[in-house]
Amino acid sequence: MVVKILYIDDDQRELTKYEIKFRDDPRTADRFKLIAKNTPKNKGDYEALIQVSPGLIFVDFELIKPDSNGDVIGISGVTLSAELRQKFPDVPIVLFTRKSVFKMNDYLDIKQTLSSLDDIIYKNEVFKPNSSLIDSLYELAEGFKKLRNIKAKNWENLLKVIGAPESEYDNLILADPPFYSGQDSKWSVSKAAKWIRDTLLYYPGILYDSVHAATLLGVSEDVFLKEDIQEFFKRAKYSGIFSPPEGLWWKSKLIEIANAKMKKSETSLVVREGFPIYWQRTEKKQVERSKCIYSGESPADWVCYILKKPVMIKYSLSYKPDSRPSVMDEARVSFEAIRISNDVNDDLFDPLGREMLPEIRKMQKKRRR
Amino acid sequence: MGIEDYPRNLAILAQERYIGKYLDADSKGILFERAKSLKGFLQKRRKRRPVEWQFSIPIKHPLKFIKNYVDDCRLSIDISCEMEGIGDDIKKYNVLLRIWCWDENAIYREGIDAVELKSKLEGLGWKRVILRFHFDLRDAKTESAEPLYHLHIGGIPEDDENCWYPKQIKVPRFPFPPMDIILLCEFVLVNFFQKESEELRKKPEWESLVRKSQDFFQKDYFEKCINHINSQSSTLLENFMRAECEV
Repeated sequence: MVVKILYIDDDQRELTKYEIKFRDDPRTADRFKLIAKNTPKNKGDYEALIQVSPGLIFVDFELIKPDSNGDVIGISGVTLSAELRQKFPDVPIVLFTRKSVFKMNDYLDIKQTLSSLDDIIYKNEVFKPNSSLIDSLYELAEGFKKLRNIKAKNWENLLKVIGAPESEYDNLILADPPFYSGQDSKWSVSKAAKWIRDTLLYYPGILYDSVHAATLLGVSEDVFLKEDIQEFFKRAKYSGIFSPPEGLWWKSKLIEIANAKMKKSETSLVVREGFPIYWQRTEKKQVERSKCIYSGESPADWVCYILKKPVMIKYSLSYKPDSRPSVMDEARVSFEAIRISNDVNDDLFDPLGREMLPEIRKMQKKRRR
Repeated sequence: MGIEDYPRNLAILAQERYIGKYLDADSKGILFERAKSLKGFLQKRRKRRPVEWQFSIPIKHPLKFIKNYVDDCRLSIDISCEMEGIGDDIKKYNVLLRIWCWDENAIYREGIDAVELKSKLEGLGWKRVILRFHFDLRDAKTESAEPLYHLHIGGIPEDDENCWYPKQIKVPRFPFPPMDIILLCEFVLVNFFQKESEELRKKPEWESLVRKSQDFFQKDYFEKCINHINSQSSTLLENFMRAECEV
């Protein structure tokens, strides 16, 4: 199925450039058709955009150049996206810009703030050789389409489209879906998409990426991504809408699958201790455990928010980088990140954590003998 | 840590990710409110003179923990306290920890307990205090001999004991280190929410919070114990029983 992209920019050269790129690149040629339009200035321009009937919209951030008639829109792509959201409530809108004009890192929790934007993508990163952005854009458009096509927009059907296991039903309600007020709740496409992408799939807690899943199971990420373990946990893999190319796994399913095969002596332990013993026993080979980035101890029981590496809870501090629902895993930063990373913002620790920072920064890296 | 840091520590303790999620819904606001009230006292500090303060969680509105199953019994814990001080000197200290049992079969023994008790318990929704622990600082005006800081408790009676402890008997009192709300919360988690609180208790920020209370409430007590033991003079208990003993 070909996704029609409506691309709005004030620069004719950019419009032409990406029209050609999307047409000629083998990764996009069969999946996307990009229709380039200059920034809308009047009612007629907006009507022309509606006629395109896009499945995905790209908007440039800087819209300051005059068009062939000398007209200038004079607003940013972020502002224009709010207007476009009114015209296309059920279509994903992506800010398609350059790093030099819009630095995402300058804004804390930017995706939560810009409610009319569904994503921010840098132009020069889309066609990089190993980029997964094209797959993500396709998944975004397809996800919106699936949501649009659901006739009865109720909670039950939303659970179906994300393929939620029954064991997660209660947790999903606790993940603060903004439209949820009971089983009969009705949702709009853009709100449901935002909740799924920016809360459910974004924060670890109900769904885990490979490093969180590996840490939960007490093994290294490399071990977790090996074919045999991937096959073993196939049923835990998220296959609902907006599925990221790197993969996500339902936490409760990982535990359920592991427990179903383990012996009583293994299930009596926490999964991160029991599962490696089980895997070692059945595969008859040593399994690399999840190691704490700070101390080298195993098994680590958390994942460092900054370094995205396993860490022991006792060598990490609570961090408040966002307003994630309480059912999601708490963000914690390893002592290692506190010591070495420039991305740590001291203001985001709680008062007790902040008091401990100078002492942690003086510590030598701890290594298990 | 000094007393001026204590309201902040209590407010941190009350947060959902610390003790908040183990507290009964109607108890969640108590610590915040009491911390605020203590802060009010401490802000009245006069020049160069330590301020007089009070901190109380009345028994009528104690800090109630959620019910939990321990050894197949549904139990709940509550804590109340009365504390007063001048600056960092604690002048009055009475902390009470009660264990309630909500298990009909455990709190009423058919054929042993009186029928009147049955209807009374029924009226109360089948709950009963099964143990009370008083952590006290000796009252300056008391005439009875008691250790400076002490613990007053019930016990585990044998079946043939038919244990009943009459109200008027005020002994024994065990010498015991001071326990504030934060230290008692740790005690409750370790004993009554052992598995559930494992993750919290590993966190360095939780340990830091508890250590601050250890420093403020217990350090001098334990130093005094060690010093006295090293001095080879009277026994530790006799020393703590002496009226002039102070921490």
